[in-house]
Amino acid sequence: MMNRWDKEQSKSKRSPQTTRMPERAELVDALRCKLQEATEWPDPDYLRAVTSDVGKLLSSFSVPSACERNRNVSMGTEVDLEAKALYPEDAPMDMVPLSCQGQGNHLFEAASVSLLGDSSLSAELQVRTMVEMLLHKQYYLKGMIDSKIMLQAARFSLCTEESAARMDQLPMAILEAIFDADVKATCFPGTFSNMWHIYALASVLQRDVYSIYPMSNMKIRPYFNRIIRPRARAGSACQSQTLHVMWAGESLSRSVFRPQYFAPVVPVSTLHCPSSGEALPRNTLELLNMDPDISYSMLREKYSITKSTFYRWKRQSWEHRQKAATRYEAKQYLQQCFSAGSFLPLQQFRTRFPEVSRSTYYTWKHEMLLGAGVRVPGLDAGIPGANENQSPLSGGSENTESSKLHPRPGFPRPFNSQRSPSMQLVKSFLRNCVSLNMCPPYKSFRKTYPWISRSTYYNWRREAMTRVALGPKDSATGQIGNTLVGLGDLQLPSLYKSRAGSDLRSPFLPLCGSKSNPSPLQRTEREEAKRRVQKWRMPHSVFRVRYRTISSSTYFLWRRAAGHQGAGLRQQRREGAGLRACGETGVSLDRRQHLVAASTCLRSGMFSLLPAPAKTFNVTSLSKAEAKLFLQQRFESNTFPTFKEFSGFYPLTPRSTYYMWKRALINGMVLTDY
Amino acid sequence: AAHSMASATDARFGQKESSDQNFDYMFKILIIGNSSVGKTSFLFRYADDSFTPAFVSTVGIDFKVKTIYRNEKRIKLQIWDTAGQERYRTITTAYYRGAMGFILMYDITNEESFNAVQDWSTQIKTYSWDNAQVLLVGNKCDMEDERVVLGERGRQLAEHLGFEYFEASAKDNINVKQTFERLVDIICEKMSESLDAADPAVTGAKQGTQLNDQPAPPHQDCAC
Repeated sequence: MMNRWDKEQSKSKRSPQTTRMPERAELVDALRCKLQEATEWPDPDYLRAVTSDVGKLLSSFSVPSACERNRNVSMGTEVDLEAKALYPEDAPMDMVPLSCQGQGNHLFEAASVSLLGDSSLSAELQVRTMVEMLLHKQYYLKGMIDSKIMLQAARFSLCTEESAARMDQLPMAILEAIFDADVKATCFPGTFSNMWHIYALASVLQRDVYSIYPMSNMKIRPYFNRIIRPRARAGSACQSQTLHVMWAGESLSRSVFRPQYFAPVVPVSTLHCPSSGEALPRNTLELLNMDPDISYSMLREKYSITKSTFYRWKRQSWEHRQKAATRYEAKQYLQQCFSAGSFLPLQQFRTRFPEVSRSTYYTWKHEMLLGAGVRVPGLDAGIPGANENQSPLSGGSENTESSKLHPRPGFPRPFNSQRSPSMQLVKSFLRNCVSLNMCPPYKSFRKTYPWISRSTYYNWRREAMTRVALGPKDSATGQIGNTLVGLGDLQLPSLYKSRAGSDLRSPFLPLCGSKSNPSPLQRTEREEAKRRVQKWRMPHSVFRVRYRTISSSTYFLWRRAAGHQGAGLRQQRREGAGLRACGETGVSLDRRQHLVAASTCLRSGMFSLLPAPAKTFNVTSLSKAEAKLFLQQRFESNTFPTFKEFSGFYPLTPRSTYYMWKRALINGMVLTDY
Repeated sequence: AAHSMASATDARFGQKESSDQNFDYMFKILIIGNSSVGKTSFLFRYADDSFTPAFVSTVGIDFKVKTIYRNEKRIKLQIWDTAGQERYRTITTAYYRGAMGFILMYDITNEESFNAVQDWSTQIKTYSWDNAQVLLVGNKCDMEDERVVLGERGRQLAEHLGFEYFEASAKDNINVKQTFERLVDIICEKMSESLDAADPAVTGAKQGTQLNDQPAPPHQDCAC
């Protein structure tokens, strides 16, 4: 073992400065193996000695940086849409999180991509970070200005929501033991990095690392959303650039976020290879303003502004030009983001382009979404600004309904054709799913159709559900459909009437309106809430977050009322010769039928996104809420059911969920307030 | 959502490494159970073939690495030993992510440790990846005169929870190696199962977004 070790050392001594990448990667691999083997020794001093040697070796050559290599994000790298949605407003505006593959929570892959544009350096950063942590442990735990903050961050990442208070007293000895274990684990694949890794990484890179944390978990956010200073700083200007990484993961609600992995964050400009020379209208305008006599031919060489645009601008007043340029730039920027696979949220857009109105933003967004199959006119390089004179309201929502936008071959599109069927197709797919009672959740849906916005999804789904509720008029069961229409008119008036723009008052209003004089706004909100509860089976948890002002008892009141109606509806439907039922009983009864339908769907090609049947037939949120209520009541009355008994009532609730709830109750938590 | 948290991004079936690596697969395994049931002793017996009767409570968390040959593959086991004390339980759950196997341990001479098995099992289901494999182990089977948990009860509970079951003794080196090897085998079986189930069409469609959502277990090649 030592022989190989010596060989490696001499090999690297030969030409440490000129180590080329493949050779370098081999060396790093060997060093990593060495460290891994050293962790197997019972004596920690051995690991320390080996680490020290590895450290010496690594210090003989430096970490490459973007200056040495031309940083350009490698082809095929995608914007991480989930991370992008979580990207906080206080982080640099012109940067974007990318997705990157890796093991564990891939901090080092993310750092490598941020640094060089690819993950080629991740193993080396990983090894270097381990060495740094092990050799400078005292500095990190006690010596830095930020030590206490770092340790507090470590405490927070070790706890779950319910234990946050107790974690404050987590003794130093334990933290140190955890630090040691984490350091040792760092040389293995699939390691999970923590805040202290980021501190060490900053030192390895000898530059600041901006640890970007979503705008959630506000109490602990300051510990994670920070610029991390290195132990010692590099001299060269190039290396003093800040490296950005982002904590990404799952957003549990607007305020709660669960970190799961790291995303590299790069300037938007490195994403696109500006082969066509991106037009910078502002520059053109500046030139125009400085020298009103500038000619098109002079400009043309510099920027890809078309002749017509140039002359139009030249004719206009200065203010007008400025405005046009801003709009042009804003639209182009939006289009770029869209092509990169994400859509700039309104808030970010407005921060960047405060001059452009909200409605214009939505018009453009709509255009781009509509044009997912068709290139948006006016943004093709040939005719920039062509639609600047269009009214901002053109291309309204009626287009979605009427136009059939089948993918046209030959038109460049932001997504490849396999993943980009036309909007209409996607919509009808969703409709089919709903009619089969297997509507994919937005999360799954987005995987296959990332360019379709959440609101569009919900709009379509609502529409499709309305259709289902009204009954398929064109089918043989039209009669029942009509009955249901009748019922719908009677019992679910709020939805249809408000849509038709007529009286908003629902017959249920007196029932739910506990306050004497609710404002029209409140009333509408309640109506909406109720509709969502009764018609769309909004889960209680979501309800509580969305409608804080409405009590939970109202929720359950609505639920119960809806349950009776629903039962009535179901009864009618079944009598009417086995029309698909959408209640839970219907689900289990018709499961076989659905499975058959689902597999047909799967076979027919584009529907590959259908979630696994097991998932589809998951417990509905209604029964979940009921089950929780049931358990809680039984818990309070000291007659807590066994799983067997429980599953008799709620066969669809998995055992693990039962035990999770049970544990929560024993721990004094409240599952649901009623 | 709670019990799926750990599954995102981290659940990795066996890391197939490049040929330069000193192993073919790496499995992360956790030993959990109440305080003083013998988790650390069990690990030391397996990794170092040593046993110390004195009880030293584990501080925080630590792991040992052992490389074994199984089905002609070099498998590196990263075995995490966790503190069993109730107040540190949440720390250890942070380390559940990425674990492919658990050894859930109780002490056959300690009724309370047996009663806690149910809770530990819930912890696993809440914080680990859905496909994590669990083995129930009744330790200290050398102390037959002090036994309070009959083997039959252990077996029944294991069956109820859907785990395999062993009685073992770290002190007398009974069933220690067998426990780990059986766990490795179960993990390998599960791996090839999920490989068989992998539908190329579905996997293909998920590319690019795989990182961002609850992934199916990443299908890596394993023939062991």
